[in-house]
Amino acid sequence: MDTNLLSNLMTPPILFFFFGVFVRLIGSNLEIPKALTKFFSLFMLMAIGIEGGTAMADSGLGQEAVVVLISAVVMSMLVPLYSYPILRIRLKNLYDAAAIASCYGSVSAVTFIAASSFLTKMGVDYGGYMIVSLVLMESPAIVMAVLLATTVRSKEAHNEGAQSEGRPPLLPMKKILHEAFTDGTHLMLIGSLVIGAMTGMEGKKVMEPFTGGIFKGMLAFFLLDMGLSVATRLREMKDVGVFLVGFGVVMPVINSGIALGIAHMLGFGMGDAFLFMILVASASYIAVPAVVRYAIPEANPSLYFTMALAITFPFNIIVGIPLYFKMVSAVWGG
Amino acid sequence: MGTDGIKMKKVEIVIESVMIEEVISIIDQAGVSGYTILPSVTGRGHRGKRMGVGFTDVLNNTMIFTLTDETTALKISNRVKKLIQNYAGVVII
Repeated sequence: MDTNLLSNLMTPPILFFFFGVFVRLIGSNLEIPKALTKFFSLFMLMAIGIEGGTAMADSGLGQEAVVVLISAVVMSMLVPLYSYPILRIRLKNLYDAAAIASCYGSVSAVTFIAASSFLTKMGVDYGGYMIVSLVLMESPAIVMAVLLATTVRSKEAHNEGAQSEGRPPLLPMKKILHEAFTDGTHLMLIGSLVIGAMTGMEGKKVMEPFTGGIFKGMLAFFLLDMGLSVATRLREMKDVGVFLVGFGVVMPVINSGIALGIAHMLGFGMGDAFLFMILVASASYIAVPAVVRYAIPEANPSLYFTMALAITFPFNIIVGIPLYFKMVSAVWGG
Repeated sequence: MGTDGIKMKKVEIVIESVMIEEVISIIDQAGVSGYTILPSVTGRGHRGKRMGVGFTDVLNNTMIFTLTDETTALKISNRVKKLIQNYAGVVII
C-alpha cells in the first residue's frame, strides 16, 4: 500500500479506534460511560450536519448534486434487494437475511466522517451535498427490509395456516415507519443539516469551535468507544460464521465497485465518487439496527449488529478507504 | 398493602430498551397510572450477557416497575410475556 495513503489514514482518531480494540482484548477495565458515548455520537451528527448544511448554503443544489442524491437513494434501495438473495443462499432464517440486507443498504456516518477527513488530507474536494446523500440513504433500506420481512411473514403464514395464530403480536406498519423516520440519530442529522443550510457561513463561524476545533478530539473519544465495542463483539464471531464474515468483507467491495461504475457513468467528480463508494459500501450499526430490532423481531440482532459493527466498519476503515481511493484514482486518473 | 388497604403487587419488567414504549403502553392500557423506569440495566439471561452499548439501544435493557392490584398485575404480565417471546426480557410479580 502507498505510504502516503497509509499515513493519511493513520490519524489520531483512527489510532484510538485500534487502541480501543487492543485494551479490550487484553481485558483492561477502560470504559467510557454510556451516556457520554451517546453524547459523542450526537455531537458527531450535529457537527457533520452543520458542515454539510453550510456547504450547501454556500454552493447551492445544482444539477450535479441532484444526480448524486437520486443515485444515493436508488442505491440504498437496490443494495438490500440484491443482498437479500445472496444471503438466502446460506441463511435458514430469512428474517436475518432481510435485517442484514437492510443494514448494508444503509450507511455508517462514522465511516463517512473518516473517509471525508481522509479525502481532505489527500487534497481532493467534494460537494457538501454528499452529507445530504448520507441523510437520504439512511431510511430507504429500512423500508426495503420491512417489505422483505412482510413477504417472508405472509409466505410463512400461508404455509402454516391456522398455526400462525400462536405467534407473538407484530407491530403495525404505521408504527414501524414512524420509528424509522423519527429515529433520534436520524433527526439529529437532518436538523443540523437544515440549521446549517439556514444559517450558512455565518452559522458555520458561530459553531466553529464546536464543529471544527474540538471535533477531532471528540471523534477520537467516539472511535475509542467503537474500538472497545468492536472487540467485545468479536467474541460473537462464532455465531456469525464464515459465510457472514465473508459477506461482511466481500459485499462492501462489490457495492463500492457498483457505485464506482454508476459514478463514472453519471460523471461525478472524483471526491463525490469516492464518498459515494464509501456510502454504498458501508453498513449501518446505529440507526438501522435500532429500527430493525423493533420492526423485524424474528431476526437475531447479534448477527446484523455484529456484522455491521465488528466486520464491515473496521474493514472499511482499514482496507476500504485506501482501496476505494486507489480504485477511484485509477479511473479518474488522480 | 396500599394506602387504601388493597393488597398490592409489584410488577417488575426488564425489556430490551427499544421496546420500552410498548411496555409503557401495556401498563397504561391496564389503567395503571404510575411506574418507575431504570433506563439502563445490564446482566445475563437466556439470550446471554447483555452489557449494553453506549451509542445504540439495540443491546441495552431497561427496567420498569409498578405497583398494582393482583388482577391488573397478572393482566400486565400476560401481555408482556407475549411481547418477550420475540425480545430479551423478563417479567416478575
